[in-house]
Amino acid sequence: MRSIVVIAAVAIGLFAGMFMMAFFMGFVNQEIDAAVETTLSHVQIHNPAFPDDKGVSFTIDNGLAIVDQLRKDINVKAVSGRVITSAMISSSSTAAGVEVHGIVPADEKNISDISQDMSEGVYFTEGKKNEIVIGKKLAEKLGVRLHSKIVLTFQSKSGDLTAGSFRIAGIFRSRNSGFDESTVFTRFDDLALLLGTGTSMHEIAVLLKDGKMAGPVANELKHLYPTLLIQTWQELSPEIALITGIFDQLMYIIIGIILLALMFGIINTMLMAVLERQREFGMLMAIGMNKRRVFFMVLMESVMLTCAGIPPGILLTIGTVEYLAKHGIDLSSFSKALSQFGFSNIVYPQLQTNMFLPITVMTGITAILSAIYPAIKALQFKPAEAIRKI
Amino acid sequence: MKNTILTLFAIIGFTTTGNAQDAKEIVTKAENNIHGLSSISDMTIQIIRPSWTRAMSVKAWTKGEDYSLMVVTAPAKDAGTVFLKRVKEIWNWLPSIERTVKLPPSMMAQSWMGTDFTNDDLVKASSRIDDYTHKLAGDSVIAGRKCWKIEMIPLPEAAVVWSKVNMWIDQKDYLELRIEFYDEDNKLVNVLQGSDIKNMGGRTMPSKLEMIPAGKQGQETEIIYNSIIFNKAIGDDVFTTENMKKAK
Amino acid sequence: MMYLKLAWRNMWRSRRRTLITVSSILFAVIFAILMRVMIIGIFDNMISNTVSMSCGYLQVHHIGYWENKSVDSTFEENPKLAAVLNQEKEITAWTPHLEAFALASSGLQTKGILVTGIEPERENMVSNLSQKMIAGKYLSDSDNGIMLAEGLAAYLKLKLNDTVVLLGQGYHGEMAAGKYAIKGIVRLPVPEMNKSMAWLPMAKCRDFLSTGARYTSVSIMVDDRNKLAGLKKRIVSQTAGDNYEVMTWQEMIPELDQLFQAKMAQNVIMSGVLYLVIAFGIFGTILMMLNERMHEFGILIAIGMKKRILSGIVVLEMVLMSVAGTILGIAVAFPIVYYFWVHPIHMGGAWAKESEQFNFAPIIQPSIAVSHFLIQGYVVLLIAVTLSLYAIFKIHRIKAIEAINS
Repeated sequence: MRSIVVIAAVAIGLFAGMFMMAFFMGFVNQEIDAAVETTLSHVQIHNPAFPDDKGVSFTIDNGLAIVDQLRKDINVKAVSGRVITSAMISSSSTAAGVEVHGIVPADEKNISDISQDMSEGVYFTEGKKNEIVIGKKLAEKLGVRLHSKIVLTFQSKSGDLTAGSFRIAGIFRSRNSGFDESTVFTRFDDLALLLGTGTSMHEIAVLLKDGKMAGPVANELKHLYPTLLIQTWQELSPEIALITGIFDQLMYIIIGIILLALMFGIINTMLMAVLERQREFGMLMAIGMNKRRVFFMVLMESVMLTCAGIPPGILLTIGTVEYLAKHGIDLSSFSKALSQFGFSNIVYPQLQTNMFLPITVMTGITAILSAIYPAIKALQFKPAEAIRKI
Repeated sequence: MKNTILTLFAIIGFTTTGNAQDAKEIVTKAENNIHGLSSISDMTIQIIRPSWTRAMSVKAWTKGEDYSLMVVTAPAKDAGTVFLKRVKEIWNWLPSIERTVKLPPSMMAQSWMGTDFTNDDLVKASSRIDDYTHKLAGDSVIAGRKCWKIEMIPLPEAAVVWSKVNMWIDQKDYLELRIEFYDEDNKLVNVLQGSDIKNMGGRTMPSKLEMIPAGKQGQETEIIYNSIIFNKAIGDDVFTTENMKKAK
Repeated sequence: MMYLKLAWRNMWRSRRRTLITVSSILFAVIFAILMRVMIIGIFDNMISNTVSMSCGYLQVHHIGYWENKSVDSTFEENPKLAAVLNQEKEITAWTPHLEAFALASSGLQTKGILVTGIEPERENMVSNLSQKMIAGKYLSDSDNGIMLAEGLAAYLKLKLNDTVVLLGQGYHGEMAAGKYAIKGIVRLPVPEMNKSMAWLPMAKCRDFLSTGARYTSVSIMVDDRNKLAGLKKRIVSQTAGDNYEVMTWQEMIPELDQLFQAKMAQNVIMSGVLYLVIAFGIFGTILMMLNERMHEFGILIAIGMKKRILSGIVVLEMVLMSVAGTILGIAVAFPIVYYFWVHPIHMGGAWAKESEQFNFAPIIQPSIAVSHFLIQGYVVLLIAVTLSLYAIFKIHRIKAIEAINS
């Protein structure tokens, strides 16, 4: 009976530790993905002068060639070249400053999921000219609706003030209402025509198959194109990297606490067990078993029970995480306040097979350490008294 | 029988085309009236709001549609401020800080000197002649003068926020007496009204212009021309950034 | 009453057993508390750092200002408001702002920026602005100069003591123009902010915008962010009729709120896992205790004690031990948490460096709100008492003879 309890405790402890890691990983990845898949992408390429000034003439040399080259790279999942300028958007009642992204819808769809966040209308329709897609918050500010007309005013490449009218083909709503208010999308060709920039582009965004390759891929690109500014998502948005960093650290502390809790739980259970077996130990010592042997016996029992507990723990973890990885944990069901924001917050725990070993070892060590105190206690029984104990 | 019908169609066809031409011609004449060749004027600008009013005195030089120089002469705090428009660029000279600044596109939507006109209105990125189709829509009387009412619909490609602009042009002197600006819901957004028609500088023109935003009670901007001289020769060097600092 | 006496005596009969059971609950409570205060402490720090540099926990401004920020939407400096704010004990610091969009020009370049008029001493208490300077001197009330964000100065190609021109639209449409010498350069961690912010002493800013004695907003920092709703109500009621709007940070930056709600939901799951581990620990102890006393139970039942009464006494024992364990757990946890509150844990490594860039001290400082202690204590108590009901089940299944022989 007590064996089962200790085995179960070890299994649960193991499960707890690994599940937490899987959960954390899933959560951190969700955060990163949310940013990467909407606006950042994994790597961005610019003309070095562009980020500070956003001047029309700061385009990327040979942009088209670079985009082609990147499409062939095995690490790359999607590439999108964009022409970008700051502009004034006006409706009949108000005007606002925005950043216009001229994109190729077919490419952009693969790299950013704004196309799926459409609250009204259609992302872009093949063959239609001068369509624009704006954020819901901006539409409200300008007092416009789907199919309304707006005018974009900006400075062309030759320095002249240029304007063009566009019709709202779709309205999007992302998690970041600041983004919704300040960024608008038009077709690459429509914008380039007004700006007079031809096929030149200001920004190349790259989405990788494996996000962790951002650093290495960026380095490779820096070698290939030394005159261009190449940045990873961490460099583009250090705030996100910071938040994930905090939670990495936090995770270790949390796991530490869980293991401590586990340890005390096991200690207490074992103590009780030892107490229960007072007569048994007393008897053993009375018939001559030396103290050291008793100690090791208790310890050995611990080791075996721990080992027995590990496989069920691992199985439980794999089973739970596999199931949740498919179905996800919907965070909104845990927090009413969260669900009121109206966005899905689904976390997919990710099994970290490389953590199996360290965590198993840690759990094992914890379990065995927990056995030491009770084992010592066992030695303190006076055989004569122990035999008579009820 | 067939001939009669065909002739009828031809007559109707000609008349209607004739009218459309007239509408555009009328607007062209009216617009050219305003922009003329060159002018030197003295005006008072009143900004009227529900809880306050502000007045400015401005002296202006214009040459065609592309060049204009405006100097604020009163009140004392703003006196000496100069606006220069060269084609599509606007420059500012500010005596208090002794600097010339070129207005970037982001400032175009900002109101000009706090009035109900925007910097963009000064630059006028669109043309009332080229960017619209024009249609005669009857006659009206405004300020005792018989006017054509012309409905203007912007061309699909035109960079214009309005869905419709109605203009009333006086039939005698081709003066633009009233302009109504509509949004896409056919709601009236702005009205530009000309009144106090006088003979100034040898021409008949409205001496008072009011820009009245439709939805806002008690809010408008008034421009009153005190004096104006037309077609006096003005050198191109007047409309330069160097001259801004000396303008008086 | 007799139950109580019996339960009490049973507990003291085997001190060791009682001690072990109580301690398992005690440690469970301690760990539950530790985990919660750590996590909440981190959340508190993050929110605090973010709002102190932007809108404050609470903000007072003219009605409609937040939706439509314009210089005309300002309110007059008001000693009554100052008095109300100074009186509130919950408020740790407050500072007024006069903010407007303006063009900054250096002859070579022009850029749209946000210029903020500040009262330097007060501002420092809220946002620690002086700590973020990388060159020059922090502004004083009577200064004539301006402070620029690092990225902005770089873009305008200006250094300390250079002159920058500001252009904009002031109050009631008046032209706003001014030139200022750069007295200091500030580094802000968020790149967008670092490229577009400038600060003027309040008096100079008012001159620039021709506003007279007015503010666009007053930002407020508080002691306990859970008491915001009450504080907001009190300020609103005491300033009724002044046309103010008081907004909480959640209303002003809903994205941040959403982020934290997501983390709190995460926390629920993490706590759940911890509770699972704790429950097992406690259950193990209970199980073992029951096992050990099987012999005793068997005899009692054999001599006629009703199972119902026996289980009643046993459960009572466990409840008493659980309560004791919980109270002791809270008592022991408090000094531990307090110690870390005074001496927060310093983190090291790469994260620490990044943190410092953001002016977040790389520390983990637990929250010492009493509610955390009570909540976790209550939860563990609940778990323990629920698990102890297992005793009823076990006792009912006892076959006296087997039990006596165990």
